[in-house]
Formats: sequence, C-alpha cells, structure tokens
Amino acid sequence: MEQKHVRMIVWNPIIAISVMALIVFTMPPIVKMLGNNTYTIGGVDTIYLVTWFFAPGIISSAMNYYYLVKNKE
Amino acid sequence: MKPTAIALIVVLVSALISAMYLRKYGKKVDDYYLMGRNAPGWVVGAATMASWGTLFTWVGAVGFSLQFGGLIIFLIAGSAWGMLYLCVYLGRLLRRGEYRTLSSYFEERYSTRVSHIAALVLSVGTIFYLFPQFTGMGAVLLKTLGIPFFWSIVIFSIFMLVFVFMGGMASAIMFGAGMFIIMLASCILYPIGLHLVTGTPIGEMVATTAQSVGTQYWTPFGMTNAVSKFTVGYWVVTSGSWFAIAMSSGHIISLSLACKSERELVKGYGIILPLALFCIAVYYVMSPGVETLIPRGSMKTDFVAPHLYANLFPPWIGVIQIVGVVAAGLSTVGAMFVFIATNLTQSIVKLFNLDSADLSVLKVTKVVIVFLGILCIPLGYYMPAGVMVIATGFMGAFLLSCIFLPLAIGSSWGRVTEKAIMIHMSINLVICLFMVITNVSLGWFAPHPLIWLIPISIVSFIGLTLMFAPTDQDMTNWNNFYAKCHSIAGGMATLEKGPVKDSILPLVGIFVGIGSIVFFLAFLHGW
Repeated sequence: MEQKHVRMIVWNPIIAISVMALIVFTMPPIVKMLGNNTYTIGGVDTIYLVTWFFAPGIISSAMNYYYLVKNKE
Repeated sequence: MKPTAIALIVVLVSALISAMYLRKYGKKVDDYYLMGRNAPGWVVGAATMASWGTLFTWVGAVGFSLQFGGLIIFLIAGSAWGMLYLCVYLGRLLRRGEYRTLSSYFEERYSTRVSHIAALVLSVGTIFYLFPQFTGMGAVLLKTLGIPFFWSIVIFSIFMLVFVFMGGMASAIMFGAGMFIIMLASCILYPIGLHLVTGTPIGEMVATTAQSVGTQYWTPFGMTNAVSKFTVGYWVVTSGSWFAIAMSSGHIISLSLACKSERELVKGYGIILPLALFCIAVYYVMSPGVETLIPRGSMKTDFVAPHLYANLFPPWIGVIQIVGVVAAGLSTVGAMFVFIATNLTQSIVKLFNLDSADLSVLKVTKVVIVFLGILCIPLGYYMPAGVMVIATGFMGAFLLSCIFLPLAIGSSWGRVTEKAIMIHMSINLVICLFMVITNVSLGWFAPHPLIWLIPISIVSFIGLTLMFAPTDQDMTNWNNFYAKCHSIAGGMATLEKGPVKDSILPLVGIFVGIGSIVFFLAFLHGW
C-alpha cells in the first residue's frame, strides 16, 4: 500500500466532515448573535438562513455537474 | 365515499398491480435485493427523494411545524448536509464497490463478524425510522377511510408485506419513482390548498401565527418555552443525528447500489437534493398557516396533516396530497423492509450455515420481512417516542454512535483495524441501547442521548484505532478495498465517459436550488 494514497484519502473526508460539522453545529450561535435571539423577517439573518438551508442542494448539483462535464465523450 | 378515500384505494391498488408486474424480480437474490442493478439514474434519484423525504415531511412536518414554528425545519437541517456527503462521495464509493448490502461493505472492509454486528445495529436503528412510518400511514387511513387507528396500522402492515413480497426492492424503487411527479405536484399544491381554504395569503397567515405565539416561534435554538423544551444542545444533537441518518441510512444507500452505473448515479444525484429540499421547506415553512384551520394543540401532532388533506382541503388538492403521502410511505417502508431483511438474512445464513442458494436466501428474507411487519404494529400504535419526527431521530443515535465513523472515516483511513471496529461497535451498541431505552421510558439522558453518544463514539473510534496496530489481514482487507473503490485514476472526479447532455439534470438542479432561495426570501418578505 502506498502511504501517499493513504494520506490523501484520509484527509479529504475528515476535512469534509469537519467543515460540515462546523457549519451545522455553529449555525445557531451565529444566528443568535446576528438576530439577537429572534429572526427579523427580511433581515440579513433570514438571507443567511435561507441560503444556508439550500446550500447543500446547490453544492451537490454543481459538483455532480462538474463530474459529468469533465468526463464528457 | 369521499374523493380522498377513493384516491387512496386507487393508489394502493395501483401499487399492488405495479408490484405484481415487478414480481419477475422476486426470483433471484440480486434482483430482489437490488432490482438486478438495473435502475436508471433518474429512477434512483426520484426514489431517493421519496425515501429521504418520507412521511416525516408529508405527514410529520405539518403538525410539528404548526406546534413549534416554521423554523423547526432547522432541527433536521443536518440531514441535508449528510445527504450532500452521500450524493457527492459515499454513494458513488459504495456503488463502485458493487456491494449487495451495507453489511457487505463491513464484511469486505473489516471482517464477517463485524458485518454481523453492523447488520444488527443497522436493523435496530432502522426500526426506529420504520415504525413512525406506520404511525403516519395509520393516521392517514384513519382520517381518510375512518378505519380505527389500530386496525389501520394492521391493514397497512399486511398491505406492505404483499407489496414487498412480490418485487422486493424493485417494488419500492419503481413505485417511488413513478409517483415522483405526484409528489412534486403535491408540494406545489400544498400552499395553494391552504390559501383556498382560508381565503387569505399564506405569508400573512404564517406571520399572524408567529405574532400570536411570540418571537420564540421563530428561534429554533431559543424554543425553551414550556411546550417544546428545546435547547441549543438539543438542536446540536438532533442536527448530528439527522446528519448520520441521511449519510449512513442503509435503505437510501441500497438505492444507490441498485443503480446501473456510477455515471447514471451522478446524473440522478445531480438533481435530487435541491428538489427534495424545496419540498421539505414548503411543508415546514408554510404549515404555521394551518393555525386558522386547526388551532395549535387541538389535535395530536401527527394527525394534523391527514385531517387537513382528507377533511379540509378542496377534494382535488386533497387527493393529490394523499397520493403524495402514500407514495412517500410505500417507497420508504418498502426500501426499509428489504434493507433490514437483506442485512439480517446475510448474517443469519452465515451464522447458521444455511443453504446459500437463491431460493433459500429469499425464503429467509421473507420470513424476516413478516417478522418486521408484525413487530411494527405495536410499535407504530404506541409510538414510544411520542412524535414521528422525534422517534425518527433515535435512528441517528444508533447510526451515529456505531456505524457513522467506521463507514465515513473507515472507508478512507487504512489505519482502522478490524479489532478496533469490533470493540467500538459492541461497546457503543450496548451504551446506545441503554440510553435510548432509559430515555424513552424513564426520561434519563435528557434532552437526547446523543449529547453523550457523540463524544463517546468519537473518543472510542479514534482511541481504539490508534491503540491497535493493523495486522496482515487488516492490510490485505484494506488493499483489496482500496483497489476496488478508490484506485481509479483521478479519484472521485473521474467517471466513465458519456454524452454531455447527461449534465442537463444537475444543471436544472442548480437552477432549482437558486430559485428556491429567491422564492423563500420573497415569501418571507411578505409576497
């Protein structure tokens, strides 16, 4: 087994999961700070929340779009 | 008879006819378990949407959101990030390995005895996701056909056994995919139905409800009122729980294993997540508008949606909603039945040295399915955790503490050994069972066992991995796994070549995602 392969594939998922966990788990305190414990409809916190919620879908589509275009015939 | 009742009967009969048509998949193990690995990408994507959305959205979300506010959606937001990990990485990795079930991964990556424990954990965990679906469908039959709740669950159980017996996974996949358009239509028509029965703009209804309840209605982490008792800690562990559920759910992963190629899977996954998120957001964000029709607290939380669809909505919209609910329910429950049964069967056949010929394996599989069907009747009726969305979260406790790290990190970290995983899974399974049972029955480990399970599982996984050096057998297993799943030149970015038109689906997905942001911002601005 080549050590460089082990290193490469170990860190990618660890980094990915850590970033996701950070985003998921730190969201409430950030919004709490932004919105003073309430959501102001139409405010920056609402835009942040809505974007945050739909971000996984856009990232997923964009990455899979990239995979397919990169491997076209 | 009411139109919704007729629609319900028609869709159930259609499901049986489609299952009958698919019974050709009931003769070989690979056909029964994975539809012969012949499912097109869009079919897998649509069935994944149906299985992921499930009844916790089409039924559970309405009452839950009415009770606690639209932003309760963020309790399950971790699920979307878990799905992202599955859609761009893990699903493809396992599809490359061409595993038959998720426990096959544990067998090849670690050992047979680890696969036995994995099968047990996956089965116990998935049952916590399975029986709330029975509660939801029981509520639908009760409100639509007027059948007593207990008998509704019994009838649904018998129906599911017949449905799954014939076509196996093909029944779940093809019916879920076939109903995909109806499910999308039901989510678009939901706010229109609300508007028609109340006569006022939906945004206004939602805002009025929020004002009448108070600002806490709009704070998922601040809902420390007497009703919800939710806290920041609760929010964090629930997010973690849903992250694990989405990422390591065996029944959803099984759908990806049934896809006919990795490229097809990328196509299907390219559009699924934005569409599913849009549907989920509609039900959660708009349901506080139900307040003017069904006052909060006047009805059991999980009965609100069926009552709304069957008795209050205009019949033509109610019919679509009921069909959407049934599509979500059948697809999910069917996939779960097959998934649990296949994992347990593989272990049972090996442990007891049973005949591994196709017919014998299928017989054992069907016996396990009957057992599950019977078990879910009392569980669905009594609903130990009280509310669908809460009960479903316990699945995450099992997956996160036992399965998540050996799957997510173990699939990429060659240092992880069989012995470490064996001990990790055994210890965490016992601790998790103890915490979940005592939490449900005695209220211990409140607000959620995962507060303890998350750190325990991380410490035990890393500690045990570093404690045991890989043996020769560990290295052989890892090298074989690596060659099978990882070592394609260029890594995950490389696929088999195909026409550029394949990228249309993900492109549509990007527009749906951006459009959803614009739509909901406009809605929350009072549009």
